[in-house]
Amino acid sequence: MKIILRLLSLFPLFLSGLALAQETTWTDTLRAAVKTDTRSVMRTINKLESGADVLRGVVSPMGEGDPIRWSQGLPGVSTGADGSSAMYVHGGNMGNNLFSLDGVPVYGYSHILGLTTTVPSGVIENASLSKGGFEGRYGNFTAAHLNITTRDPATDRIHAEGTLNNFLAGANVEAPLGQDKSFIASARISPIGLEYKAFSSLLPARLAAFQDFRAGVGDVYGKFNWTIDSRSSLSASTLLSLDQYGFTTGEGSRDALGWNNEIAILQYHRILDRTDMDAEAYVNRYGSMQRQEKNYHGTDNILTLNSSMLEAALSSDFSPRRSSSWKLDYGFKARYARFAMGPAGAHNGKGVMLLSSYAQATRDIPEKLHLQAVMRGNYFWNMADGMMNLRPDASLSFKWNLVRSFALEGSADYVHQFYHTLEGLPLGWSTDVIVPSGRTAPPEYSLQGNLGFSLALGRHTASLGGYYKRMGNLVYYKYAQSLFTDAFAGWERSVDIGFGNSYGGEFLYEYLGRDLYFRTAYTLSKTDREGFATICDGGKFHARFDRRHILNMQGRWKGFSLAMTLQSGHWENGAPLTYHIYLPGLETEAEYYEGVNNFHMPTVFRLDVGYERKFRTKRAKHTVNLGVCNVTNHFNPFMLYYDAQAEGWKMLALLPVMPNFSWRVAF
Amino acid sequence: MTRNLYLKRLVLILAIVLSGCVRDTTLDPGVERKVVVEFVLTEDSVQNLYLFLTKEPGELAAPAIQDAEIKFINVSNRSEPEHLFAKVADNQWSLDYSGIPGDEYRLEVKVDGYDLVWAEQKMPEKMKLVRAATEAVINPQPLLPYMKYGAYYNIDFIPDYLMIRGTKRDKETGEFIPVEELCTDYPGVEEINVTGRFYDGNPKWRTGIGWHWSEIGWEGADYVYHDSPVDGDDGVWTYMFPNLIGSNLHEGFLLIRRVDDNHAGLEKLYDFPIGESFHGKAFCISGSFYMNQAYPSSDYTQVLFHEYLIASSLSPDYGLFLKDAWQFKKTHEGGDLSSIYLRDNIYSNIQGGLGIFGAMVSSMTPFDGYYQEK
Repeated sequence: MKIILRLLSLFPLFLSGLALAQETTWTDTLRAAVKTDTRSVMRTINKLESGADVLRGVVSPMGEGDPIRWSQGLPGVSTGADGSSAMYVHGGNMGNNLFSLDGVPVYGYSHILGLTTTVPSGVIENASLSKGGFEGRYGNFTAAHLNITTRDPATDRIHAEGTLNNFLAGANVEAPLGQDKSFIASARISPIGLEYKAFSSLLPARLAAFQDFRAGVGDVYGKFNWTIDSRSSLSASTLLSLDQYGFTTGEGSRDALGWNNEIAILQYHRILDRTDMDAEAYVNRYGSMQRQEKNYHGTDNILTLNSSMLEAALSSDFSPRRSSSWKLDYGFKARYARFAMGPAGAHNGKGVMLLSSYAQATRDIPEKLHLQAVMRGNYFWNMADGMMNLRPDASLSFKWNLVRSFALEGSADYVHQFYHTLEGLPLGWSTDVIVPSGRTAPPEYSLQGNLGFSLALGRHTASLGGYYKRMGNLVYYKYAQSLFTDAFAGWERSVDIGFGNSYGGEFLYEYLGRDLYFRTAYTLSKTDREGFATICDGGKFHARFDRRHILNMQGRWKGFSLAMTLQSGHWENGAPLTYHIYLPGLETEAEYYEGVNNFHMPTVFRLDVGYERKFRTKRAKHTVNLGVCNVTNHFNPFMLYYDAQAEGWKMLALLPVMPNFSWRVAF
Repeated sequence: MTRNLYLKRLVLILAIVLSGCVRDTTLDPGVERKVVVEFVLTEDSVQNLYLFLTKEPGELAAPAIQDAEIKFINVSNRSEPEHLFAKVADNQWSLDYSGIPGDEYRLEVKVDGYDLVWAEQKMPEKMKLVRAATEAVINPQPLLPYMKYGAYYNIDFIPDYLMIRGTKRDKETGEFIPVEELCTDYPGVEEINVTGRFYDGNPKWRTGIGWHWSEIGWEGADYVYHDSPVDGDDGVWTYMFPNLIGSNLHEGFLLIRRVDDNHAGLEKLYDFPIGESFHGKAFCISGSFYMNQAYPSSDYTQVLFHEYLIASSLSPDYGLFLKDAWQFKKTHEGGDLSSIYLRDNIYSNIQGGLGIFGAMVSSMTPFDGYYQEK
């Protein structure tokens, strides 16, 4: 405890750029971390994988990183607003990504206003990000797959761990239950509501823009393992998370938003004679809400938008144990889902059914060739409007080592997604509205290709590639006003269907030294939308997160770390030109909009620094991270909101220059 | 440093760095300023045109246009010389000219520093709102009361957009003022200006005997209309156009979009038989008129004619503009916060600019009606 207090006492000094090192029994985690990174089973331009230590080592406002922060630093990934957990891969929408926990979709993965994910870092084994050449067992997405694999609970003795950082306090415990059973349980809660109260009482004028901030944030994770016999095992896990925020931005102006996940997973693994079988069942409920109460022109308004979905699925996957360089995996999945959106957000009407089966052939010639081909059939039935269709998916990927250190890599995918996340929500509204495809809004599809090479020379590794993607049946909500009045049944009347295009190049370089690790990722890309009949007369317009340049750099030297991101601003709906109508009876101030997504937001620049120290005390291992997020205090807007009193828009930055701290203690 | 002192300093540092999180933004996308022209050609002797520039986001006032060349050309009559509008006030130009129904016109506006903006417009043909019948009519809808008397109107041709307004003498000042609310049973009336209120027939308690034919000839006296029943006087509730009771009331005008040449839908209402003084399809109009004013005086015709209907045939472009502009005005001037999220532009036919070059031909006809027993 003394050591921790001593570290804390040095914090102001640390802010001025000085750091003190002490001779303690700390371990340089960097080496281990990078090893995990570079020893990934498959590390191509399309898939990257890292272990928990690497994920936690990413500099973050939370003091320690997570899978989202890790992903956002990779090439081909465009982030949402600064500080948020949104990511856009190869021009797709945020809803085109599959974020999964042990393969089970997590639809509301954002936590603490997007600063981290709902999955506690203490239970994570590793994470992988696929941007192409998708595996057969995962479907219903078109852009990227970020999969988090959880750890199996310890079976040797009781382990306990506590974490504390600026925004979260948590604990997890794992223990064996007899010879063949074990469990892990984790709970986290956020004190940001209390922190706000402390700051606002100290300096009320400084936080006048936001009053009465209230937050209810927390998550619970539990996993139970049972090794039934030498050939079979069973695990049951659950993830519950809640994010609720409320604040006042002026007299009579109240905002509230929130989302929650409730997931229960049952997984069974059995080793058959020549095949491994994995069977899975899960139930997944996701809900989100945003509400604004504002007095506008003397009238009290309450605008509410809710979205929720309930999904249940059964699946089984078969993976023959390899006996030659060829391998054939196969499996099927059946899922049923119900959706609700609109002011009420109650589930009504009928649901949808999605049945899929796949076959995946893999050929490996060690150090020469890796080839994977996937065929997948999807049968989708929207019971509400009666639409039934059969859509095939296909993926192909390869890595061909031309010489030992130089490989040619590529992939091609034609994939479908049967749930839409609506684009075109009103400015300042961030609710993820998920709706099913149907007759009006057919399943989205994506046709994409990636080609590049990778180079590994001693401590240096690099990859350079290009991609092109064409997206179809994208859904854009065109009548923003009706979102707050239309019932769920009416959303189809308010959407336009169109296309998207994205192309670009991406570069990744890593240096792995004894004490120094450095990584830089650069993406040059262009993404647009077109063909929406009522938007820009069907012409092209920017995708919202069409960031032309994205440069991310990370470096670690011993315990010190530094991260920099420089990104072109994203696009928002710009303000109109205004003019007066003088004609008798029609006198008013009219508006003229030249398009959508036509206002270029400011460039994002953030420099974060951190320092990690590990040490042991008699009974525990401690990891302390200290850092400063956004050292240059660059104003990076997180969101726009409408000030009804001033009748104008305001930009809110979530991450000004801000010290961060995290402490992890394991027993 | 004690722990408490440290914590106080830490909180202070955190509070300072959390400041400055909010900034105003105009969200200015850098769109070039545009020339706006607003001009509706009529048969009046003087035409007024409004010309100005748009305001950019965050701008309080747009730069004024000091000078502009505004040409007005009758394309249908090349022998007619080009006309030039003259500036008469800030943002306002005028021209002594009466539009000719059926003729086509071209408007060209050149403002220094901006490209030429132009529009073409055909003046609609003149149409008339005809009072078709005030006699007994058999109502073909059995569930509605038998129509004893009423005014039924017909239009001699159906324009793309028909706008009907009303005017009446103010009871106190004697000045003509617009009729606030109107309703009709013509099918296809636009709902953009419905008030949310419904026509109630303007009920009156009628007392008196009324004029009737007897053995000695006409005898009786005028009915007397009261707002509520009068104690001791026998009477009956009467209504103006009881067949319209329950119809949507529209604010200021009725805007009717042409469905077809044959008044589709009207055949279910009042299809007058051939052989009467009028034959064809007709419809009713009512609203916040003072019809009972006609009865205190026995000079029926003179008083009756103090209330009029104004029927205007609008060019399609003007109809579209009017519809959009009205919707915009009503949505944005109200207190509905969700209106800030609307991004729909008001219709414009000005090439290279914004606004409208529209045309309208109007005629007036007396409003007619009776209070009737249901």
